[in-house]
Amino acid sequence: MKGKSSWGVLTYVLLLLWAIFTVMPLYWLFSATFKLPGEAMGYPPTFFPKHPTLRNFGTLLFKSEFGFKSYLNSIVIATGATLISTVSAMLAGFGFSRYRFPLRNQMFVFILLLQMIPLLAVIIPLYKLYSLYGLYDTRIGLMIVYAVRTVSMNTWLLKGYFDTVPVEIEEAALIDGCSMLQAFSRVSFPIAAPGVAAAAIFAFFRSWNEFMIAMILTSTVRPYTVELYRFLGEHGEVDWSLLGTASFIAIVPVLILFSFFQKYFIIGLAGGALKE
Amino acid sequence: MRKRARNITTGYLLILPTVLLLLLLLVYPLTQAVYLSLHEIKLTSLNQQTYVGLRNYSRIFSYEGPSFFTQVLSATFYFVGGSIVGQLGFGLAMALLVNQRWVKGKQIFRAIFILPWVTSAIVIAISWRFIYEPRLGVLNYVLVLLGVTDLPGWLNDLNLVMPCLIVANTWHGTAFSFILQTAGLQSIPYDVYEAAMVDGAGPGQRFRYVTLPLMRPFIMINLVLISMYTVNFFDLIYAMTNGGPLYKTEVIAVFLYHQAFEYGHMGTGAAIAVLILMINLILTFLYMRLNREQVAERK
Repeated sequence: MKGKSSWGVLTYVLLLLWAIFTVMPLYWLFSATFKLPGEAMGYPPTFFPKHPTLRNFGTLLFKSEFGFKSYLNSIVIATGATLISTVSAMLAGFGFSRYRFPLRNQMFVFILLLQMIPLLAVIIPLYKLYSLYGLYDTRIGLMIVYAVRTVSMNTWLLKGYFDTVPVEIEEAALIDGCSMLQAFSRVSFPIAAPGVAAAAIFAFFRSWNEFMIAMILTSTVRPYTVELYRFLGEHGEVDWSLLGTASFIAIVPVLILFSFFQKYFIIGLAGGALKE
Repeated sequence: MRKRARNITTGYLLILPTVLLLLLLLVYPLTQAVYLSLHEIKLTSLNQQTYVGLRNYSRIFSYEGPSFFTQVLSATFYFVGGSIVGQLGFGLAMALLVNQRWVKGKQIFRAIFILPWVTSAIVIAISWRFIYEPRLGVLNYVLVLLGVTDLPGWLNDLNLVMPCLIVANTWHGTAFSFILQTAGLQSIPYDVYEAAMVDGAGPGQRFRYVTLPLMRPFIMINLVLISMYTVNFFDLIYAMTNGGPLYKTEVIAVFLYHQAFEYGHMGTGAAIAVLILMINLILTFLYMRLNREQVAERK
């Protein structure tokens, strides 16, 4: 296959170019994190920080209005949303996989179809409902709406995993004296664990990165995405080194997490797009 | 008999949390969106609403700043079309290149290519604004080095602003197409290629007569999914241009936000939401048909 070596060289050149194009914008923003403000906003731009510094972290977290709070909000909200989405989807996936009840198939298809409805289409009624029922500007309000964004996809994903667990194994466990709950936690759950991991990671990423809903449905318990936007908008003169630092803190831990769990992430992503 | 009844109850109880979440936060609001679209309701007094029939819809269609068809829809179409070309083109090309058998470092390339998909749209908007920034941005600096004197304003330039957004969105979304097309390529058994080689097909012919036909369903599904995702995409454009300059990038999602939350016309906003929903329904219908075809072809 490699036969024509010029094609081999061209392949690597193209792949490298796309890799550089992919990394460049993030590198550029994040390099501002380690530059002094004068250098980050000075002219001409520098590729490597001339005097690498960690000062921006201190300034951002302790001396600017950005602070810690929005990161804490994001952690709490995304974790809560992940728990709600994954647990509900695990129960529903198990229910659809193991139990026969009237309208089962219709309900399953309906849940899948709901995934196609963008939250953008319901954001106005949600705003009204949230304002009237005291959910506006609460963390729990964001958690449940974020869970809604991923729960149908996760239900589908987990039903698929439970379908691969043979009923016979569960029945054997029941005969051996396990309760239904024990049979689930000791037999079915471990086999479906990769699916649960994929579901949780999918739910966490989508919640961590969300912006629009948070901007509309909160005013004080803002996650970092909204705070970043305000930081960008409020200052006429944008302080790129602080903005870069704020983005760096929000994204780099997630990217590291991602590189460890890449496999599960792709299961969630490719699986969700190709339903059978 | 009693066991069967208990099984039915357990089944319903297990799906209850998911069903409740979806009914309360998606299905009910959806009916409300349709209901509100027929009413006049202000952001400042959410409890007062008066029935106005289809007036919200006629208001959208006769709107002047921006005009719905010539500005909002055409900007949306431009953005979606451009993003499809960029994301699908590069996504497919990179998937084809990486998945050649002899390529080394596949894992590293894949990990890098997927990065933009896990990055928050707000951070993407910030990093591209930093690049496009006319005075300090690296793009204009490179142009200066190349000797260009008439420097463009990028996001402030009426003709360049949309291409700039499409480049940023292509940077973001190519990752998704890349993953999807990789899944497609991996579904093609290698024997098919071997058979083609035995029959004397060269690389060009193998691509034209083996890869492309087998990839067609994946490409079509990808196309529909990008359209859906991009029509509903708000974050990137809102944070990069907020619809400007001169409504050049006022796509339908941003238009909805401005009407409902900036001017406070919640009823008009709801009517736009219903239109967006209709676009999504059409795309969903297409998607389901394509998916059925794909499953049928595999059997």
